[in-house]
Amino acid sequence: MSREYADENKGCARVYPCERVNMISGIQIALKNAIDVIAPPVTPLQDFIYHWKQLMNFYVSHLTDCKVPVQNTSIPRHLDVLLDILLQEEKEENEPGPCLEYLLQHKLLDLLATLASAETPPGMRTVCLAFLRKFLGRSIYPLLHHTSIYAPIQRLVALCNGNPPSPIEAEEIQFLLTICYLACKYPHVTNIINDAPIVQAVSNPTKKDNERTEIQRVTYVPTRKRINSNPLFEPLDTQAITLINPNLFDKERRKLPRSNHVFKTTVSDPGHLSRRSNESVSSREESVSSSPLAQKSVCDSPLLNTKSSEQWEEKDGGDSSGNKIDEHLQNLRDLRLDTDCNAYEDAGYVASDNQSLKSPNKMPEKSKCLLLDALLSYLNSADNTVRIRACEGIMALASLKDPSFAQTTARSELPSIVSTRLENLFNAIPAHVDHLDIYNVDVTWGLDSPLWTQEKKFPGCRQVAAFFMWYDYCDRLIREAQMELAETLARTIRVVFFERIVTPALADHHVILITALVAKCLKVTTSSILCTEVSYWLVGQDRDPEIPNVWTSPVLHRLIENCFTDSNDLTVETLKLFEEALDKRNEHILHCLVLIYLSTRAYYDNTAADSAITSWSDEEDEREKDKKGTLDLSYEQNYSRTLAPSNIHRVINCFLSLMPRYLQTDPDVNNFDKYMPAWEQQYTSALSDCALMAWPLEAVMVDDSASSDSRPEADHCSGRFYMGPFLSMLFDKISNMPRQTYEINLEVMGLILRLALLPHPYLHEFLLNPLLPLIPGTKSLFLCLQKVVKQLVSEIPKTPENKIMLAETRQRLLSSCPQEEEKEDILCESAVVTEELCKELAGIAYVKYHHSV
Amino acid sequence: MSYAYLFKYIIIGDTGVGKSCLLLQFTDKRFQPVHDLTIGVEFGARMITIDSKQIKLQIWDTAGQEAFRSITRSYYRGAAGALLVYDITRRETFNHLTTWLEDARQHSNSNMVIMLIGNKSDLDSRREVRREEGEAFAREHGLVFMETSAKTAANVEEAFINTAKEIYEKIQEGVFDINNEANGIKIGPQHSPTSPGGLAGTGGQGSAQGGGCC
Repeated sequence: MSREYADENKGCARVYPCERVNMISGIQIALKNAIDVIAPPVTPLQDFIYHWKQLMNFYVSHLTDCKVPVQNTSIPRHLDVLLDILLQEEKEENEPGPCLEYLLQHKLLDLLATLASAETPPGMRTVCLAFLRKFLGRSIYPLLHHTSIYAPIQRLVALCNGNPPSPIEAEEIQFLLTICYLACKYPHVTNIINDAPIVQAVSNPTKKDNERTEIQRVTYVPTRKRINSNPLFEPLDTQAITLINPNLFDKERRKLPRSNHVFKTTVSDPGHLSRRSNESVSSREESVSSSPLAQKSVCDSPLLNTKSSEQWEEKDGGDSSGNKIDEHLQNLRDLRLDTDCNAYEDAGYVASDNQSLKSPNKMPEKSKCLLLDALLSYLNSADNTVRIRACEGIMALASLKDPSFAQTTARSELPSIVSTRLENLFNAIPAHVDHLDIYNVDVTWGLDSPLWTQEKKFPGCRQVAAFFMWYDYCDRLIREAQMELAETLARTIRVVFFERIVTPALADHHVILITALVAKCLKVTTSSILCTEVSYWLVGQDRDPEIPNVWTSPVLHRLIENCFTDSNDLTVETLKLFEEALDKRNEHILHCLVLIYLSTRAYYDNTAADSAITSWSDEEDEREKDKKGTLDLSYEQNYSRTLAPSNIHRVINCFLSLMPRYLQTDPDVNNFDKYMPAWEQQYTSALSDCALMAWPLEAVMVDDSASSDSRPEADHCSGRFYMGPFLSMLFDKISNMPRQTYEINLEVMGLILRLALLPHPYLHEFLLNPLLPLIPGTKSLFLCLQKVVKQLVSEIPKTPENKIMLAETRQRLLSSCPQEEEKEDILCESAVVTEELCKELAGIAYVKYHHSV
Repeated sequence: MSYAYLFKYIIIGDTGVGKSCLLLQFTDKRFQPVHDLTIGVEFGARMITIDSKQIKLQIWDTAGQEAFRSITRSYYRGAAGALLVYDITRRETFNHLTTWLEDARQHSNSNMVIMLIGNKSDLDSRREVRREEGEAFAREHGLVFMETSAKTAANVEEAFINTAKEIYEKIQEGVFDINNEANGIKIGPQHSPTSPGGLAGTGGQGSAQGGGCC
C-alpha cells in the first residue's frame, strides 16, 4: 500500500507516515527531481520508463481508495516529464525514437484512457486529456493511425460530451479541437477518428487499402453500435452507468460483434480474455526486466551510496509494484468482465448479434461521426468560449476536403442541430424588441464580437445578438463547408427555419419585428448557397411567371399583402426586406420578382414601332432593323445600345422636366452631376455582380419561334401584359406617393432606383425609357410619375405659403441631423421626394449610357 | 479603461512563424520558447498611445495551419489591421505570402492596413530570406515591412504601433468610416457618434449611394 511513496521519497515516507497529506507529494517530487539532477538516468528511455512506472505505482498503492484529487498526486508531474521526454526525443532524433516506440508498444495511452474513463483519481480525465492534446498536437509524426493511439483516442472522444454540461468542458473541447486539427492535417485518419459507417467502408470498392478497411470494420462497429442502439447510452455516462448498474451497460455490450478485440481495455468479449491476460503477462515481463535497469542507473551514482540500501529496497518495490500495477489493471478490467460474462449467457446476445451481422445495410440511423457528434454536444454550452470552440471544430471538419467524409457529415445530425438551434434562438427573441433596433445589430459568430451579448443596447439585445451570431455562423459554415454538406445545411435551414417558423410568423401579431429580422438575415447572408435557398423560400422555386391574381408563392404573396395593410411600419419594413432581396443581386430573386414578366417584351407596342422609331435617331432605326436579322451578333458586342440610346438627352430631359419649375426646391436645378460619382460606383458593382447572369445585351423583339415556350399560361402574345405582383405593387406605391408618408416614399424610391440600376435591357427600357411605345393601357414608371406630378401640381398651390413650406421641407429632409419636429406636410414631402427621384433616375440613365459607349 | 479608439488586428501567416510569440511579447512582454499549437484563434489586447490618444488594440492571433483556414477567414472581417508574418529562417513561409495576402484581401475590407513581418531576426545565422526580399515583396504589394524578433523583442512594439499609426492616419484622412464597426474601428465610449437621419442618411440608396443631396 505504501510502496508508492516509499519508492519516491527514498526514505522520507518514514518521516511522514501519513501519506495522504497533500503537501507531501510536492516535497517528494522536489526530492526526486533533485536526485535526478544529481544522478541523471542513463537514457531517455530509461527515464521515460521510470516515470511511467512511478505513475503506475500510484494505482498499486491506491487500489481501493482513490479519493485524492489528481493535482495532489504526483501523476500530473510524471505526465509532464513523459511529455517533455517524448518531445525532446522528437527534436533530437530524425525518426521515431525508443520512447515513442515504447509508448506505442506498451499501449500507454490505452491505460491512460482507462484511467481517464474511470476518473481515478478524481481529475484524472482532465490531466489525461491535456497530456494527449499536448502530445498529439505537438508531435511531428502522424500518429493517429496506430491502433494503440486511435483506439484510446476514440474512447476519449466518446467520453467528451457537453450535454449535460461537464465541469471540465473547457479541457474537453480543447482536446476535441486538437483531434479535429489532426483529422484535418492527416485526412487519411479522418475516418478512423470519426467512426465511418461500416456500410460505406465495405461497399466502397475504391478503398484499396484493405488493411485500413479491416481496421475500420474491426474498430468502428462497436462504438457506432454502442452509441446508436440506445439513446440512454451517452458517451460521457458510460462509466457512470457501468459503475452504478453494470447490467445496463451489458445490454449494449452484448450487441457488439465479436471482432472488437481492439478495445482491449473496454473489455466486452470474454472470448479475448485469455489473449488479454497473455498480453498483461508479457507487458509485466517487460516491466520487470526493464525496471532494474532504471533503478540501477540511480544507484550507480556514488553520491547516493549512503542510501543504497534503501534503493535496493526500492528496486524490490519497483518489481513488486510492477506486478501490482498489472494486477490492479486486471482488476479494473475484470470488474467489467464479470458482468460481461453474465451477459454473454443471455440468449439475446446471439439474436442481436446475428441481426447486425445479417443486415449491415439496414442501419436505420444516420451515419454517425464520433468526433462531430462530440463537438455538437457542446453547442448549447453556457460558456461562450466553449461554444465557439465547438463551432470552430465543426467548421474545420466541415471544410475537410474528403468527399466521403463530406457525405457522412451531410447525413449526420449536424444540419438539423444547426437549424434547430437557429429556430430556438429565433423563438427566444422577445416580442417587445423594437423593430428599428434590428438594423444596426452587427455581430459575427466568433470570439471577436462578445460585446453585444454583454451590453444592453436595447431591451432584448442579447437575444437578438445571439440569434444573428448563430445566423452568421450558419452562413459562414455553409461558405466553408464542402458542397454536399453546404447544400444540405442550407436546405435544412430553409425547411426547418424559414418555411416552418418564419412563414407562419409573417401573418402573426409581431409581423413587423419578424419582417425586420428576416430583412436583416437577408442582409447578412453572404453564402451563395444559403442565399439560393432563402431565395427559394422568398419567391418560390418555380421560375415561371405568375398569372394575375393567382398566387403560387405563399411567402411573396404574404409580403405583398403586408405592403397594403394599415400599418405604415409594416409597409416600410416589408419594403426594406424587398430592398435587401434586390441587393443580394441573386439571379433567381430578380428573375422571379421582375425579369420573367418583362422577358418577352410584351409591354412593347409593335404596331407603334414605326412611329416610335421616328422618335429615335436614324442610326437606331437601322440598328433595330439589323438586329432582327442578326440577333446572335449582338451578343458579341460588349456594350449595349439599349442602355445607351443616342437620344439619351431626350430621355434625361423627360425626367428632369417632369416636375414643373415652381414645385422644384433644389436651387441647383437640372444639376444631377453631383449624383454621378456615387452612381458610377454603384453601377460598376452592379455590372460585375450581374455579369454571369446571362442577360441579353439588347432589348429586341424575340422571334415567335424562339420564344415558343412550354408555358401556355404565359401567353404574352395575346397583348395582355402583366408586370408581375412585385412591379404592380411598386407602381401602385409610386402612384400613391402624394398620400404616403415620407418613410414609405423613401423605400419605394430606393426600390425603383435599385431596379433601374440593373444592366438588364428590358428592365432598363421599361423603367428608364419614357419614349418607349407601350401597349395601350400599360402602366409605366414614367406614367405613374406623371400622375403623381399632376396631383402635386393641382394640390400644392392650394395650400398657403406653399413655396416657403416646400423650401422648409427640403431643408428639413436633406439636413443630416434630425431637427425638432416641425410641421410635417405629406404633400410637400412627396414633392421633394419626387423631385429627387426624377433626378436620380436621370442620373442613372446617364451613368448607364456613359458606361455603354 | 476608456479609450478613444479600438482597433481590431489579426495576425496571420504560416504555422510556426511565431505569431503567438509576437502577440505574447507585445501584450505580456515575455517570450515563451515552447508554445502550444494555436487552435482556432486566440485573443490579446493592449492599450497604446498615439497622438496623445488612448487606443486599444484588440488582437486576434490565428492558427496558421491550413486545416484552420476556414475558421480564421471569419476573423478577417472587420479587421482594421493585419500582421502578415513569415519566418526568415524558413523560405517556404515566405513563399506562401502570396496565398495569405490573397486570402486577406479577399475576405477583409479593402482599407485594412497590412504590415509584413519577417520574424526571428535573432536567428540571423540560419537566415534563408534576405531582408531585401522582404522589402521588395512589401513594396510590390503596398505593405509596410519590418523584421522582428519575438524572442529579443526587437521591433515588436514598433510593428504593432506603426500599424496603429497607419490606421490612425487613415482615419484622419477620412479613408475609414469610423461609424461603421465593420471596418474594425470602434470609437470609445466617450465619443459616441451622432447618427445621421433624413433623406441623406437613410433615404434611397443611402448617403454613400444616393450621393450628397445636401
